[in-house]
Amino acid sequence: MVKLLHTADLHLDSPLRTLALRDLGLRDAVENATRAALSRIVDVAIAEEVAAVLIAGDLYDGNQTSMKTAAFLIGELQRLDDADISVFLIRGNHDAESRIPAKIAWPANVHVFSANAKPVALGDTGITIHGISFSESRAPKSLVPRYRPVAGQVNIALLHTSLGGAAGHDPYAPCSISDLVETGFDYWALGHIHKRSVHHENPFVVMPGMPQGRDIGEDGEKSATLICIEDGQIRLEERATSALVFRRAECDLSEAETIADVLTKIRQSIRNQVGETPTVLRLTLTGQTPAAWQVRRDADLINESAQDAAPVGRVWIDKVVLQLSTTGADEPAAGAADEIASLIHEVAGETGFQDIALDVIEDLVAGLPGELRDLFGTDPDRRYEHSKRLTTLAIEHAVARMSGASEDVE
Amino acid sequence: MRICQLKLVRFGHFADFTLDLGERTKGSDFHVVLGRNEAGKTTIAEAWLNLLYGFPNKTPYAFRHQRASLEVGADVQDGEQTFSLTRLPTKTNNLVDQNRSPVSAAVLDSLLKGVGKELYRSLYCLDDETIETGGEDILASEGDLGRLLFSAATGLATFSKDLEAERELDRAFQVRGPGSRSTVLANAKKRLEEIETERAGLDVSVREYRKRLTVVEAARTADTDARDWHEAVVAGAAGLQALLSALPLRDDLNELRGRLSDLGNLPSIDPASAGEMEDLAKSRSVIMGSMRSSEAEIARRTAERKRISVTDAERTLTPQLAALKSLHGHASSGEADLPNRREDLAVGKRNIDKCLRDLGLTGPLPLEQLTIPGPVLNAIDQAARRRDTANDAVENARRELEAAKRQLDDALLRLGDKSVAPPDPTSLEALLSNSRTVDMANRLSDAVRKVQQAQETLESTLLSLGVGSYRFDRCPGSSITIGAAQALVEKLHAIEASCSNDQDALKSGSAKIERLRARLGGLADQGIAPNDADAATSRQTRDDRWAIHREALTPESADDFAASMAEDDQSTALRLADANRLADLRGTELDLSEATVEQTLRHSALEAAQAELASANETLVSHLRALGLPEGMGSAALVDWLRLHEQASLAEHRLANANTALASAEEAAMPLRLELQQAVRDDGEPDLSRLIARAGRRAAEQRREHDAYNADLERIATAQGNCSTRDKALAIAQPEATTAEQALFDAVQLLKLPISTDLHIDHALPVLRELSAAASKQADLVDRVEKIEANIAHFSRQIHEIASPWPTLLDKPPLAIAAELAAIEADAAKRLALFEENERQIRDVSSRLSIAKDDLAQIEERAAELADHLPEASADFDQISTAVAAASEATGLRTAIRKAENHLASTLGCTAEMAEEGLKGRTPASLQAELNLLDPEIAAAQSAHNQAIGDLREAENDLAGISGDAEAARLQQDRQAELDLLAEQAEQALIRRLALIMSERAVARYRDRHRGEMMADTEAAFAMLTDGAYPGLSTQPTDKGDVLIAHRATDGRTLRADEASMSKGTRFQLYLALRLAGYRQMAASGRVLPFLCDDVFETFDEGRTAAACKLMHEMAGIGQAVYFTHHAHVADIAQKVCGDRVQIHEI
Repeated sequence: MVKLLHTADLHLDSPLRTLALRDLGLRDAVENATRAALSRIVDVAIAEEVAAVLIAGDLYDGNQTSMKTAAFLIGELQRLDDADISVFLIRGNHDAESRIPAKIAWPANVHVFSANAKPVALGDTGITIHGISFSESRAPKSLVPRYRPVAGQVNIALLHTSLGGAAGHDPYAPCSISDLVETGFDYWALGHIHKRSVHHENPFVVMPGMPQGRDIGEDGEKSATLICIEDGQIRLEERATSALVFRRAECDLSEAETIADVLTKIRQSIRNQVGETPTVLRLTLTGQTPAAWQVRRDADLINESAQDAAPVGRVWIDKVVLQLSTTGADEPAAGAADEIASLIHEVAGETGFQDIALDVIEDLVAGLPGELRDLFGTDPDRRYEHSKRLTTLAIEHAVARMSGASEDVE
Repeated sequence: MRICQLKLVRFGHFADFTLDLGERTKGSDFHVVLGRNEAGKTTIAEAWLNLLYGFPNKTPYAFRHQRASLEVGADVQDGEQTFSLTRLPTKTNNLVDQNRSPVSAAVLDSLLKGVGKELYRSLYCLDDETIETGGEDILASEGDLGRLLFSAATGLATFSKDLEAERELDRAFQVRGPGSRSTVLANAKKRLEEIETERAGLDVSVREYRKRLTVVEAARTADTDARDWHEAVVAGAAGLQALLSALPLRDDLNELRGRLSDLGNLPSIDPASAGEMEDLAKSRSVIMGSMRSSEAEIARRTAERKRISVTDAERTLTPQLAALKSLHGHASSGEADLPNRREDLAVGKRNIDKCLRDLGLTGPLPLEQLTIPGPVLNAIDQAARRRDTANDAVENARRELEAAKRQLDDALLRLGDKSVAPPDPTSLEALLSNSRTVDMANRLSDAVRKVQQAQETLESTLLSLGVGSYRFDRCPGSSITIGAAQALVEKLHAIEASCSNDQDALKSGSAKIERLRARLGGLADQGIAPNDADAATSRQTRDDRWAIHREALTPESADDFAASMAEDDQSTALRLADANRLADLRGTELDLSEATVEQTLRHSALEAAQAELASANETLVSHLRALGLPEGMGSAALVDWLRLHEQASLAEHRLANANTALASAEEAAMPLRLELQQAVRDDGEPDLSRLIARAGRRAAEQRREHDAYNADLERIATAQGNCSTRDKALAIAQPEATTAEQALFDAVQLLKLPISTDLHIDHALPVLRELSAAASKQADLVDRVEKIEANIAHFSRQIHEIASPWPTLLDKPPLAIAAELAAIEADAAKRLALFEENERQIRDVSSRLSIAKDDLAQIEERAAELADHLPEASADFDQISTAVAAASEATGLRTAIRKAENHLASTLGCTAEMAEEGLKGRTPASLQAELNLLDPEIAAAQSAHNQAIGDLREAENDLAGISGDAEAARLQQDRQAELDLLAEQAEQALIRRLALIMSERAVARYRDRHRGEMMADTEAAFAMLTDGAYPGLSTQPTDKGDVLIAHRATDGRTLRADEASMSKGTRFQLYLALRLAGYRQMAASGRVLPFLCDDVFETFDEGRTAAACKLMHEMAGIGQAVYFTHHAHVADIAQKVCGDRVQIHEI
């Protein structure tokens, strides 16, 4: 049996995006998650005695400038070379964006497919590896017609593609699953989309997903795909690669009557998320509770309590998001309070208020560092959407504050 | 909402205490609760709050009762609805109603209108502490009138502070302006810059990488250039060095050329020929040496051969002995074996003799006769066994025949004298097993059982028919059915009930008539109004006088008219007033008349019913008599008796039926009965079942006898059969025994031995077998001994013949002779071998010598051929050899010259001619001088090259020094984390800022909306509280905002509320006024809740206390006000001010 390990979208040295990193413990625990994921891939490849590792693009992340990233990569690939494991890689759109040169001192086992690369036979295994690297960060047309299988071989093709398009991913070398299925290849080793998906079997069309999520948008366990080929038959297995897992969890507060109940529920929810891999958790509070206004007013306290409740070294809290139902029944209608609350809604609903909100946003954004200047959108439409969203949150905040002014937590 | 009752079941020091505030009276709900110090006034107020909002986890009111047993209840009223609520200390469902069923939180929410505990405390509870704090708040308001009024009216006391805190937070994130350098934003930017600087210091950028790459490439070019220069200079030096080393080569070449010219013009010889010539010389020398040693060897061997001698007799000895070898072996082993064999012969003879004796034979018999062939013995054996088998068969047949005969005798004896067979039971069995018989028996038995049951039932029902001494032995005939009796009973009951009702109606009718008569009397006595006639007279008088007055129109007529007018009016008024009584009187009279008529009707009805009852009773008695029952039995009992009678009648009927069925069954069973009686020969048994049982027993008995008789007959037949079979078997066995005996005799005759016929063949057969074996073995032994002896004799003859040339040996035994001859033969063989070896060697060496001579001739012939083309050719091998050597040397010199030329050429890298040309005029000294001149340049080139190598290595190291450590990536991560945190903070700051803006605007609008009302209410309350000392309030703008100004009546001065110029007491009153105004505001928004005030007037003088009470009373007009005090005078003042519209409760 011949084994191959398929991965893509390593995005080496791409920073993690989570507020949980305020915790220095987390920074220490996950020294560098994307690097750790590559090291794990190499460990798995050596342990499984694979014949080759297939990397379907995006080793780097955008316009990176650090050659230390490349040096680390070379070091890890050298480990594979020492274990007599071949590496086949193609470049992805992010690699093209990266300023790290395409031609660096790769170890002898590494084969980088160029734009007009010929297929390469993998020793005497009867397996032939195909791949095309595109040198630009945009590939508007399908690359599939340029792939030709070799007769009598198990043909495996590396391709960096957005397929028919996916949310959060720019179109790149677009093609359809049926395009790929009809080519006569046995396995399409894809890359580009960060979520794992086996799109087709016989032949296999596999998007392995990235080996390490970097923010809550890339949540869930990540893995590399182990391809086992025996007598021309292909079988897949998954091998976990994440050093850190991003997870979302909902905490339903419907049965919580007091703020103490709320904290108990939050603790329970967090405990339920403790797993093998260190976890960064985004907790969304839902449901309808009489303590909703307290939760809103004391969001900071809730956040801190959640941080405290997270088992040390196992779970870190990214953020506690409030999506509590607002039927009005959960707001204390305290005399003037509800009149003022309705006045707040009145003020916020006035046309002129959006202009004020836009000015306030403009003013604040002007003072932010360059990287954050587009935090609240750059074009007027996006800026307006943010202004509406922030106004809604501000209403909740103001009403909760006012409720707290008449009712202190006991 | 108002409190009706507050029940402190277990709370504080109270147990089952109830504060009953009763109903709201006369549009006011003002209560003064008067109690001594420590009576628990504050506790009551707290109990109310605990009822509304639950018991806190830690409560100071659980000292007498455990917290787990605390309980407070209240009856509260909200609009038209009343609720009974009780608060329990349990965790859940702790608010229950009067049935202890949980009350939904929604109920309380709707009662409280969403007012929470703290809001209740701040808006609806007042005590010393809150009023003190409130007064201080006014001082601290610092011109923030809006906040002052706002917090009093809304209870959102901390909201303004919260807003300020929000502003503070907002400033911490401001982008520009004073203080912005130390904001969260500025700090974050600073940190980002620091991280970036650190990262830049640690990281290796792509630009840096490219720079290092450029340096490496430049160093590589410099290295190549330096190497080229160095190589060029070194090459120059090497050229000179080559010339220097070529000079000796040129000299050697010249010397070789000189030596060749010394050898003259000798032709060259093929080096192979020269080599061959040398080889030939060497071979010739070797062959000649070999020839010499061969000739010496032949001479030595010839002399030695002459010294060896062997006789003919010795020469022939070996084949003779070899021919005798086998015989010698036999003789030798026979000689050793012969004594043993002779012993075996003796033993064999003794065995044979014994066997013969056993067989009764005497004298020697030839062994051939004694050796009996196996088939003969086997035939005797088989014949003997056949005879034995036949004899056994005869014996068995005889025994079995006898046994069969005994069995026959036994069977015959058993049968004895049973000459007649017993009767056959089959027909009786068939009769008994017939289903008709069984059914008939069952039918008869069922019929008998039913008759018995019917008889018993009839007897018991007849017994139950008895009443008192009246008894029945048979069922009497009935003159009335149950239905008719039931109808009679119902009729009697109905008539009785009707009589009873009529009697009751008569009684109540009489009572009613009495009441109506009494009422009529009463109404008649009450009459004060003029009757109809008097009234008509009075009206007429008035009308008449009116006519007179109209005519006269005099004062007198007017007075008369007025008097009669007044009289008529009075009469009318009296009649009007008496109209109801009269109407009642008439109505009563009418009722009385109706009641009297009804009473008469009831009497008639009662009489008719009583007559009907008597008639019905007579009917009943006539029936009882007819049935023979006592007359006083009663109708209901008759019905019951008739039901029993019905059952008895039924039983009688069933008995008759059963008897009929029995008779029918008896008749049907008669033929069977006769048949059975005949079968058992008993006609006296009347019971069919018993008859059947007896017949069954009879049949079984017959069956046993019949079966035994048949078994005996069968046994006799079997025994007779056996006798016949055995007889036949004996008849067959006996001839076979005779034949077998004869066959045995014939077989024994084959032995040809005079064996006695008395000898038992079974015993003789093993001896015969042993004798035959012994005789056979003995014959073999005799044969063997004879052969051994013959061998020894033959060997002796042969050996003597061979030994005849050696006469001294002939006297010795043959085997000794053989040993001697063997020794002689061995010695002769050694000598002969030596002789033959010498001869073979002489032959071999002579042959080799001859070959050597031929080789020598060939060598010399070949040498002559080789020297054939040389000028000084000769026949002499040595001369030829010398000539060839000289030619070979010349050839070698020519070769050496060529090599030297080549060496020279290769040393200088050109042709030999060019080299020799180049070397012309060159000397070692001149070349060395040139070399010395080149040394400094070589050193310089070497140094430059070394430098270039170093530079290249350094540059390459620099490039390779880019490590994959994660420090820069970590800093990048830190930077991103800072950015993410800043993004989050920015969003929060924006939310806060927008919330602040909208909150401030909303509050401003709220204040604007309510300020006027609050000001007016506060002014009125304050004026009342100060008893007009401060009739007005106004506002005054200052740089900090509006301030509240009080106008003093006495001197027209204005006092700022937030300044110390206003006395503390006045400020308290102002605060109280604000709170009361706030209460009014809350009430206006629909939140009317009980207002609890704990002795806050104690510092007030009487006048102000009275004013405060008035104010409380005013509040109580809107809602409910409860004032707790331990000052009796406050209660007095309250009563004085509010009269009965305040309720005083003493605890």
